[in-house]
Amino acid sequence: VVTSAQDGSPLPGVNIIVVGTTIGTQTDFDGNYNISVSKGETLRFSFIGMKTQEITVTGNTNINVQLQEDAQQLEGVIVTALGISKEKKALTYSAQEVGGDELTKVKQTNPINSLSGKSAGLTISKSSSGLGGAVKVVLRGNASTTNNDPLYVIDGVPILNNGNGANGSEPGTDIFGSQTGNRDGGDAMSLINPDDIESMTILKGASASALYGSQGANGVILITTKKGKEGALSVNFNTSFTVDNVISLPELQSEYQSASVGQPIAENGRVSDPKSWGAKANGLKNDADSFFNTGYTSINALSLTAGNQKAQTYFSYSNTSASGVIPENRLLRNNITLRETAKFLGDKIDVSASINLSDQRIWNRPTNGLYSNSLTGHYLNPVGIDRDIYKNKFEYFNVEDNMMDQYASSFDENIQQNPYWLTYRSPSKDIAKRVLANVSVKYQISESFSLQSRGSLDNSFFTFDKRQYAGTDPVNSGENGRYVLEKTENSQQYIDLIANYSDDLSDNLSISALLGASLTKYSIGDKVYLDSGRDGLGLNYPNIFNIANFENTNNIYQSVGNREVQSVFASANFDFKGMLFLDVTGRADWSSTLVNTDSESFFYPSVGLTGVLTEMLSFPEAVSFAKIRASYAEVGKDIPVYATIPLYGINSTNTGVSPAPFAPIEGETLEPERQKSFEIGTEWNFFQRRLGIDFTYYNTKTLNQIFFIQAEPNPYGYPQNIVNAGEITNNGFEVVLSGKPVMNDNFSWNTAFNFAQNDNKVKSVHPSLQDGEAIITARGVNGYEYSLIEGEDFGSIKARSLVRDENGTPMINSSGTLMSTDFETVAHAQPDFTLGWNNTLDYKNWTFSFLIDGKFGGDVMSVTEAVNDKYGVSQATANARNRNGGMINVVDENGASSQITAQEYYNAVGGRDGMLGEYVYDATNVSLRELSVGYRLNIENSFIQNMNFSLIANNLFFFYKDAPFDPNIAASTGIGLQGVDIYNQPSTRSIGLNINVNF
Amino acid sequence: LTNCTDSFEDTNTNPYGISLESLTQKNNHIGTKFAPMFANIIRVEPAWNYQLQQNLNADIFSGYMTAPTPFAGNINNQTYSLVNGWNTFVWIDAYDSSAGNGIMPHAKDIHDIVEASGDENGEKFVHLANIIKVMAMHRVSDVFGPIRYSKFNDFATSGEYDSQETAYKTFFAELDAAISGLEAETESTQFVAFDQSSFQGDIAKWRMFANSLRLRLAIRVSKVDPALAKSEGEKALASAAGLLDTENMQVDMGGFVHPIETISNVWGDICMSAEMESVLKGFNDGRIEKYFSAPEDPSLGDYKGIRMGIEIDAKTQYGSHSKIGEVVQGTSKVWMTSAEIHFLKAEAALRNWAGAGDAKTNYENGVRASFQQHGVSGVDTYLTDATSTPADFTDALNTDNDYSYTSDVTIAYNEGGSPEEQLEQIITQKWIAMFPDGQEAWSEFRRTGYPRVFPVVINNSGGTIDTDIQVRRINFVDSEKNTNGSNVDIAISYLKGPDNGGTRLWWDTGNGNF
Repeated sequence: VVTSAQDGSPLPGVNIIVVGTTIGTQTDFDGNYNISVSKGETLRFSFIGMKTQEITVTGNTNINVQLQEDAQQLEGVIVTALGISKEKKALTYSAQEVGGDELTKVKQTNPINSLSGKSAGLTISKSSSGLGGAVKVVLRGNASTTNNDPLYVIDGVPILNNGNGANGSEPGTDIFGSQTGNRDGGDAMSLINPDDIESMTILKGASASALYGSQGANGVILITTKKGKEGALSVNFNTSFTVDNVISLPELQSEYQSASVGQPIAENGRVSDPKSWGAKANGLKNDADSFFNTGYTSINALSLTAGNQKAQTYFSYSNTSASGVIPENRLLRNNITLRETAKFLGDKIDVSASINLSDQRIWNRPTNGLYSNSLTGHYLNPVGIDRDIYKNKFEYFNVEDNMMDQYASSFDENIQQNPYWLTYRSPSKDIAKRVLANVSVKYQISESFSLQSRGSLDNSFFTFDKRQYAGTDPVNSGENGRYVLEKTENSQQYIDLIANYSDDLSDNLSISALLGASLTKYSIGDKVYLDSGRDGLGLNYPNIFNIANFENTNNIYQSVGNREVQSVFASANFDFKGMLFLDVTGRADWSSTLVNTDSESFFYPSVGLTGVLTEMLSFPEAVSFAKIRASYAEVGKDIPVYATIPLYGINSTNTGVSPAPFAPIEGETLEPERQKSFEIGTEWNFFQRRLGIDFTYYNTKTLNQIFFIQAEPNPYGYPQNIVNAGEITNNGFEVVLSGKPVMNDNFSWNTAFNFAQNDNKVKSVHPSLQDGEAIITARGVNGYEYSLIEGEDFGSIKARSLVRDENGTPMINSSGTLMSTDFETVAHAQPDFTLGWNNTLDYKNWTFSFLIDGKFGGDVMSVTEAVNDKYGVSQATANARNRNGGMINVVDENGASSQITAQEYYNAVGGRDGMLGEYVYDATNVSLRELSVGYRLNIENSFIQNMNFSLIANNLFFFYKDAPFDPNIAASTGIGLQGVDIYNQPSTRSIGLNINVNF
Repeated sequence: LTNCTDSFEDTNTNPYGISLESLTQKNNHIGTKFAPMFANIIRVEPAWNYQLQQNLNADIFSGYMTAPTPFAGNINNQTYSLVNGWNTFVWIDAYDSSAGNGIMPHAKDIHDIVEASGDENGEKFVHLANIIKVMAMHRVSDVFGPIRYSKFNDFATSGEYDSQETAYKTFFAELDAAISGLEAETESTQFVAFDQSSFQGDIAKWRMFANSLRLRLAIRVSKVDPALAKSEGEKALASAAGLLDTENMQVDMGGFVHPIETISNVWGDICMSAEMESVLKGFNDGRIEKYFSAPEDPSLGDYKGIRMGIEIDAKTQYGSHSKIGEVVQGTSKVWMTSAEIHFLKAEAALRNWAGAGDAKTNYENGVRASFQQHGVSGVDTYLTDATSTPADFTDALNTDNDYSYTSDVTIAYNEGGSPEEQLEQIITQKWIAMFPDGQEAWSEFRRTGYPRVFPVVINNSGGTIDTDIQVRRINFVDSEKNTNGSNVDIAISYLKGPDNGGTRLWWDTGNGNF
């Protein structure tokens, strides 16, 4: 029997070979083994994470071995690119692993949300669309003008994370949002069952992800899923129930009423004055939270594993049912996973096959932006006019039309409607279905040589169905209503073949190498979009939501993005005496998008070196482990589909034909985006690994960015040219401190501290862009603009501000109007540094854990506050009216003091097109992100093996926050609307119970 | 591995795109270029585009309409703080060919395709495109002054601007070439499929329209270059192509509603102006019923307008004033009214151009044509009214905005009056007749000073626009300054002053009308 020296537990899977021969075996689940040897021969016992032992057979038939833990191997192995397991000490770059228990301790409906604060250099912004929403993940800062999303890899195979059209994913999106509401189409990761995840590894830098070539430029998140285990049947049941409440709502005033109070309300519900600049009054009520419900999220997951030495099965089913904080918002999701692993031909062939099925339905997914958003009408409700009037009666019978019509206090600026009309008469349904199938076969040809092949099929089907009834604000809907039906399919087919070789080249030097090829075909956004539009009648017969009822076909189209990438890759890792490690990788990609360019292929090299100092030099006893590492890599990204074959297209808004929106400059070739990254780091462990520190410095330059510029004159009429230009740099450092300050039999305390600082600069843009500015979101008629500006941090938020004199007093011109600056940069949303502090305290059977998450620096803007101010509903306007006799001190151009009323002031400064530079807030925030208290009940000799109970809480409160909203919520997970709150759905605090039972 | 990439060309081809070869079927490679050109002169879809292309600048500067909405905290075009983000659409709709925009790129495409084919049969398409191009671009020039025009078709010089003088001379040359070039093509039916106008592919009518445009432009330059004006004007009056004096030039809106209908009656963002109220009510003009609707608030009386550039805190204050009426209903938009031709001829007569006829007759024909166009009766009585004058304006909410109409112009033609007095009558009536096309009305106001558009009460121009002289143009757009900066600098040198809203255009001499 082979056991662990530390706790005496049996060790399954220990390799045992007779030294000098090819005879060998492995221990079984209980650590037992059988091998035929002659006296005098030596057995070598090796197991990852343990010191290898050799025992010479002296005649005993029963050799029991206790393997010692190998301090130098640290936490043992980590999964790296292409699913390759590596000893952690040999890594030449920084990679961070987050275990499955950390992800499911405080469960989230999108498992990626659970990563927040748990890894240095990882910035997570939740979408404001609540349940089932997408998540914006940025690793080590934004590096690209087109896309900064990392690659997600499940069990070695890249998956698609494209959702169904996140708002703001394309340049040009403005703060109005779509007329049917700014949509978050979700992402594919949100369809994964969090309980299926064994662990996630975050490969932050190019060095770590270089083997993924063009796909890995923004870093990689590797997900290892659970698989069946040898041994008896095991059943795990987990249920969690959380109650969700809104937090960080805007402050509304209840001191000054609207001038419409006391005036008659029209038949259609209109009030005489939709703003709230009337008299001071007592007894007013204005609850920002009155619209919101208490939401709940219930996740029930069951998993079964069974297996013997030869074949193992893992099966899981999970059901998520949730009700959002916005009325009528519900989510229902079912996931089924089946995974089979088996060994054949005397364990020489490993086969693994899995299939994941997901089905998700979301009703009335909340929207943000100004159009078709319940929150505008809710927050802007005239103070003193009872909201219940409009809640109890959101429609009235329009005698002339002989049908129901919207009953609303105002359609002012077309940004508000009755929130309950939008709830009940503008329903939407999002359906997402996904099939993900994986097969992997590995053939161990000899001890040192193996072949592996993997294939996967990843298909997602999305349906979006939105029905706006007649009576909806005519800016957003046709007279007889509007019907939008969208069907989208994303698919990816992947296949690879990899040959692995590992051997000892000499006593001191060993090598492991691989050579592989892969082929991936993508078909993304294969869409049929059917929309009756907002012009004219829209629908021939009111409120019949059927495409045959469309009045015209001005708003329908089809689209698809096809792409194919073929790759050849190789890597070699050299291990010199376990003290020096050299990694060299190379990958060449051939991409279909590069057809008609000078080269259809591009090559990505990387090299890394690690030295284990504790093996080379002698250190005081306190130092248990020390290493330094350095690596350099180049990765990249191919170019947008069809860019090199521009074709005319039929306009969706009229029957005309338009030239392709962009094309390369004639005579110029396009190149893939290229990222060059250098990384250096060191890792130290002290006091028998009770204290660890990992420090990384990195520097990346991303060149050959894609920019769209006004076209050079061309005979085809392309309005824009697509060009390579510019440079975006990121440099920063990451520190991970981990420690076990207390560790004894009854009580232990594990703590980990993540710190990341990143400096993200736009070094240059295309020279033809005047003022070095590439506009991502144009201001249009609004007050917000988002640009990349040469020399500034990535993502400049631009707006107008007040002109102030040297004392900071706002200035007015000779007409008495407040003067404003031109559009200028007023904010950069990205934090200067981030902190995460994760703690787990164990006392006997109790576990207490908490996570504090902080982002420091950066600024954000609130359009919500600006519009609330203009309407006089914000607390700020009440405060201004209570102060100084309700007057704001100003000076004229000659320096003479003057005053204007608070209403005049907010009328000029507030509003969506106001001086939004006055609505910039420090994004710094520190929050208690997660908290849990658990109790583990061990039951001896029972059907139930153990039970865990835990109280869990998420997003409990902010220790510090300046902004009037949760700055961790993104208006968009696309590139367009960053650092701005536009009536975003508020953040939620969740508190609940989790019960886990093992049978 | 190169073998494996054979399919890349197919993979990277958008299956929903159209190649140029496939477009040549049924001449669509030429014909489809006309659709966006028809669409972008008075752009109807989306309605907010028109709102920025014309409604919140020319339509309000012309004294036609006023927005009750205090956009951007009431600091906007209405109070002379010119909003670059709005006014840029005047330019984009003409020059940018993305998203259904564009006039110039499409006209150039037609020119290039025909030239490349060497097919003389295609020349008529070039002429037709040029007529539409002149129709579009004189309006753009009347907003900015210098524009990119005569050198646009050549890659090397495409970014260069013409002075407004050069642009106008090019317009005359192109119209002249079209009128003569199309003479032999009047039987051709190849344009029928692509013509979205009420001419339905009738080339003879297109010649007539081109000739009418020539007369409009000749009158426009009558102060700055009287000799050129006279020669072009007399050419137009004498041309066998004829003038559009019996029918309007209208373009089908392709199933969309008129953008002013949407902006006014759906969004509530544009209302009757104070000037329209003064003139139409003062004149007891029956067309008021067609142009405007009664205020939602009956206490405001039968019709109520809003003065531009006043203090407005909230849209609701003036939101219930008169909206735009049935003139913006229907399925087509008007490019040129027959009434205008009569008024152009009336002024030509006043300026003693050969072939113009009698000023009074032309004037009365113009008024008659306009009454007929709108189906309004009582034109005979109207034309004999020698006493009614524009009414003084009173603001319903704020007496600070009251304004006395500064002239006593009357309806009945005053043959004995000075040329100046007669011109005021002609232009005032032309202004009424051309409603709602504020672009042409604003240009004619700037040229002649008629009608008496009221000055703003609040002027946020920072001193660049004189309240009394009023806004004369719009500054060059940011997109041009950003991407074509050196040429914009040259264009600015063609102006008579700085690049702001206070500088007069070339044909806007600021001198007397005679």
